[in-house]
Amino acid sequence: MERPLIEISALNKEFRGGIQALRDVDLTVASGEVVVVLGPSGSGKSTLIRCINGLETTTGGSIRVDGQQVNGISQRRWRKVRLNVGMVFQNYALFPHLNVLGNITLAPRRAGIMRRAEAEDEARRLLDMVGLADKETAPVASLSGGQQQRVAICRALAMQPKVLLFDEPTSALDPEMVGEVLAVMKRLAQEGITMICVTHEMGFARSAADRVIFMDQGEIVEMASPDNFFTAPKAERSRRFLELISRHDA
Amino acid sequence: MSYEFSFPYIWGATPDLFQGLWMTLLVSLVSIAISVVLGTVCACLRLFKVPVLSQIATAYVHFMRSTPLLVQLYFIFYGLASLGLGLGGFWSGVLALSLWGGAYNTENVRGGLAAVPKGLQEAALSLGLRPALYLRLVALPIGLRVCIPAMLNTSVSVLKNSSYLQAIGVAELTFVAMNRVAMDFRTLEMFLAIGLIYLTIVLLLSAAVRRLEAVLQAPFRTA
Ligand SMILES: Nc1ncnc2c1ncn2[C@@H]1O[C@H](COP(=O)(O)OP(=O)(O)OP(=O)(O)O)[C@@H](O)[C@H]1O
Ligand SMILES: [Mg+2]
Repeated sequence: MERPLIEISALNKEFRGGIQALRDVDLTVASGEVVVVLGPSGSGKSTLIRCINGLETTTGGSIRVDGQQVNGISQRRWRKVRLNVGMVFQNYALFPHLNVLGNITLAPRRAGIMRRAEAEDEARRLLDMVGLADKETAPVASLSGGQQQRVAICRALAMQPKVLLFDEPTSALDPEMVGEVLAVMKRLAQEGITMICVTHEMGFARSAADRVIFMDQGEIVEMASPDNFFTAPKAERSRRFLELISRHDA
Repeated sequence: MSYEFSFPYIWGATPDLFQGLWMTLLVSLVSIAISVVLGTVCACLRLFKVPVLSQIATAYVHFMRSTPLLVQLYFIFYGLASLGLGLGGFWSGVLALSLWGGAYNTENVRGGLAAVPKGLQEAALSLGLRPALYLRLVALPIGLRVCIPAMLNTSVSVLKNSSYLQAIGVAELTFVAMNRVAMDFRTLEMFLAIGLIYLTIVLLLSAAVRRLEAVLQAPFRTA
């Protein structure tokens, strides 16, 4: 059997001040899998995926990324791990002083992965894929939120990571722009890119996820296929969460 | 006794004034350049909380901002000379002005870096950029742009404060004027003349920096 891309076991995270954000979290993600993380605010979703690329330190348990033990390693070694782990943030976090092409090519060029021409070709290919071929020289501030988030996805993809982490990629968007970003994410899911997505988009979870994880108070309460989770949630807390969501959506 | 203002006197003094102006510009521009670099380095040390060096930078800023420039100047010119490390007027002046301006620029650049959205560092790290590259390619280009107006203020102060250098015998504008006054007692003429010259170079410097700001604001280069 192929070794899982991400293996998390008994992961704990306690923030300074005593907040226990993660409690004994176990999660294994295989290559090509799409995992959607659901849960109420403050349940530890962001903390979980931020531990996977070292933006948070952990206080217990273990994480393996692509077979390598990563908890407690130095920032220098994290850099190497992060080359394989892309991240897309809620607020895009594009570099405002660079144009679209500059944002996408900065890291591949500076990490020594690609030469300029190669990186720009790859950037154009990615921009074309997300429907922004005409924006390569645009300053990022001139783009809409949905366009910026698609550029941010290209920026992460340009590093050719083995796994992409999404932290509420559509939560900062105006409703009419959510669809264009989800469409790109669905396409990536179909192409077999390994993804862990924190999102409140139930439609995306249903249609794109291989597995849904429901978190509450730092724990994984339920882990199931989207079909099972949405039609027959096992845990009481999952049921209450889904009720709350459906009332919102109605 | 009535004082007769004499334009021809100023005219006659122009060669001297030009020599002084040249020295003022030389000392100021060298000091401004050093103070910008020094301020940037110290601000970066503080941003990354580099052990020891960041504490030294903090103490340095505090010390420079809490003591008079003239005292600093005398300390460097006479104090170091008494230790056998005399630098001479010009370099003592440059050192004092650079250290003084560097302290203020540390605070200016710190302010600029603080305006860089925190998420950008996480974005850069998650892309596998080294912290040093993040600093050079993201934080400084954004932060330095933000603090250009503040650095202009500091640079104008450095330029004006170069007039203190007359106290250690550097033949800059004010020194030239004082010398002429000591010989000819044409106080109004000389101080009006150098006042106007200082005003002009400050205005020119401001205009140049505004141009620079506009140039840097406009294009969003590829890195
Ligand atoms: N830097 C921090 N310092 C202290 N506590 C933190 C920090 N970051 C998060 N927390 C706490 O950890 C818990 C989990 O936070 P986390 O951001 O992971 O939740 P989340 O599920 O992503 O919520 P949301 O849906 O609001 O984004 C919360 O109680 C939060 O207040
Ligand atoms: Mg979150």
